[in-house]
Amino acid sequence: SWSPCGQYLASASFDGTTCVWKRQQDGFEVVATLEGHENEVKSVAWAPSGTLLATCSRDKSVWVWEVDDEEEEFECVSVLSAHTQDVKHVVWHPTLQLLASASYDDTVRLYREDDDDWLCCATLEGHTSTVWAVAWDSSGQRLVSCSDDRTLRVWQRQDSEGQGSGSEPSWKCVCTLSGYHGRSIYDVAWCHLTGAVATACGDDAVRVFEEVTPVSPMSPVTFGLAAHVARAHAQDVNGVAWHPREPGLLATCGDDGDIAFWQYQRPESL
Amino acid sequence: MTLEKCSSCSRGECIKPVKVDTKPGKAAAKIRIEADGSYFQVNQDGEEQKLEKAKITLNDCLACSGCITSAESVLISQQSHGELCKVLAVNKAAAAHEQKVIVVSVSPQSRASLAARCKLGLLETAQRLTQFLKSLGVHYVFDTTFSRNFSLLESQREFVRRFHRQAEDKKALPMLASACPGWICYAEKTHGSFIIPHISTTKSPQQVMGSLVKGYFAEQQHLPPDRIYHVTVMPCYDKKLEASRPDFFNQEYQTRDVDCVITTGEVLKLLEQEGVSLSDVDPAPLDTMLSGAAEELSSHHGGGSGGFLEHIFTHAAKELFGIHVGSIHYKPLKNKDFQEVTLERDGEVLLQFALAYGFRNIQNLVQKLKRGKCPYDYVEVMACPSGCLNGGGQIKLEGESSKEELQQVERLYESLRAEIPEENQAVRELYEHWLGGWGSQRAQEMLHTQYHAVEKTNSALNIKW
Repeated sequence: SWSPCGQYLASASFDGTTCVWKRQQDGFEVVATLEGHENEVKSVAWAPSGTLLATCSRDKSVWVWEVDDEEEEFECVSVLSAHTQDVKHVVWHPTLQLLASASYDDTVRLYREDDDDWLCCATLEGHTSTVWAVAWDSSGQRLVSCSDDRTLRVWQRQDSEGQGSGSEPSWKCVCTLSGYHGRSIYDVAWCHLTGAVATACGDDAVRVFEEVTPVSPMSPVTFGLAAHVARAHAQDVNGVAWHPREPGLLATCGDDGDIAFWQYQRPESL
Repeated sequence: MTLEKCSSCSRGECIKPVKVDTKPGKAAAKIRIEADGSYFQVNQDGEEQKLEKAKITLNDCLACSGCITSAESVLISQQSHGELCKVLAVNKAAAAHEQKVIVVSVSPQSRASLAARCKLGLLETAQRLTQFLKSLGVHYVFDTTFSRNFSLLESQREFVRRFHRQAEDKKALPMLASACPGWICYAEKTHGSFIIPHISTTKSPQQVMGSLVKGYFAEQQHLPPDRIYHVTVMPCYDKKLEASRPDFFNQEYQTRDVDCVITTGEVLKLLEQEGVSLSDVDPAPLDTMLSGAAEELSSHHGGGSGGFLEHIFTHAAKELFGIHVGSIHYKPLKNKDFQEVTLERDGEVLLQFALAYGFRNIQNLVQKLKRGKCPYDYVEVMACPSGCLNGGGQIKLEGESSKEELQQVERLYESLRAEIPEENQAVRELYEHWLGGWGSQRAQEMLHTQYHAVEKTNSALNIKW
């Protein structure tokens, strides 16, 4: 995960550590090694503010670290044990200090700061198997999750009405995309420029979905398949990412060892 | 070999293999699993032999993280209120010369939690609990505040010794608190020989109580230690693990210093099981180990985790620098569970202490130590956020937020008069007559312990992705 300033790169390792690398003139240098997880770290994410880092591990925990810029030191501010199984992925809300995690326990959980600690403020239940990854849309009002159950689920923030400002927003599944993927969906990316959702799937394919403009404000949220590359990789596709500034440029990686770049264009018919 | 998983463990690492005697020269046998879950080995001649199941005792536990700060009920068959009930029933039915003397030692944190739950004062709670336990067949009910005096005094002296030794022994400081078994388990398992030299060798109040009950008290009663059954009531599940450490087992008499640990929550279950409300029980006079009945309860300065930091700080300031510390100023750092206390003279830092509660702060402390950036001379380390009053074994109050509930217990806990360990007459008397003076060989044996690095077991069986 890149730090928002672009100077640091954080990497998660099988050895239970997370390394933070600093960009040098001729490469990268390790400036900090974050130890504490009992076993392999599955994912690391830098918060948009640049002051927090989140990691998750097979040890079922999610850790939040605070960055001390001057000393390039990292202190653990919270160890969150809400998940009952292996945690696969962590990702920060685009603007708020709100963290999402996906787990082998079939749930997505959200966390926020509370006093001087963090707490799990929402549990998103619906998937029937491992949730591999989650992604936020650009507004942070929605979240998409992909799972071993071969579905994508889109969750929308529901602000409770008429209650005090202290009440927690809830998250509701507004759309389930099933029947498109032949195998486990390992990764999902929501383009913050175009709103397109790309998936990496165990059936070697890369797919892109777009929201179908609702007929009326009351009609249900629907997404349609906009692009499908059947044999994008020779083996499972593991990762997918949109370019942060160049609309439509997509990168994927697979078990075949390849990294592929794709140019996506929204079909006219949509 | 057959394997069985420890019931309190959520991971596969506690699996302990048991060796089954096999006759040499026999070809591969088959293993059949019966409907009841038992395993039979069937050899080629069709002979059947029931396989022994590996029994996992608490000693085999490798301190999986599930036990640290765990608030869930852990099924530990050796140590539970059910086991206590069994022992009490057997004891009542036993012939007079076979009966054991049953002693229960109650921690002050448990008492405060019970008092909050039953809406009673602390003294009342202690008196009524004494009566309740005696109605079940318990003979003596003690208070571990008494044994904590010894833990505090020994910790103070140990710190001063380590401070003088710091030039030649790099691991003399920081000294890390030893009273929290969750922390000890974690340290032994995860950081082993690196961290152990820093941990105070002073026994926890529970284990000092063990030495007092099975040592001094047994002598007074003219009983061998194994004729006393010693139960403690603790705010913490990990105290069960502590009591079952081999270091606290008397080989000669085949008995533990603490035979059974039950949590505060389990005392409540015991009350419910008997259909008794503590407020309906008549108060009984309190027992003391020395001289007559206690008229009042006392506590120690320095918060709900025992006050180790404050006592050591005050003692060291006086002993090492001749400074009298009136009040102690805590400076919160990252969060309320990580605070610093500093002793300065003319701008020079003489002593720097900290308290680090909860797993996240333990992590940061250990990482600081590893990087050689730990500025502290002493750290009061506790595994539970907010310390022992918030222990996993405490009673959860209904209809109260956990914060309010904890504040209520803290208020009660702090309402008692604080005693100064040095000024306790009974403690002095025991040091003098039973232990043979300060710093004697006997005091060392009775009041100190040791730690053991647990080798990490990497079994391919445990790997899952």
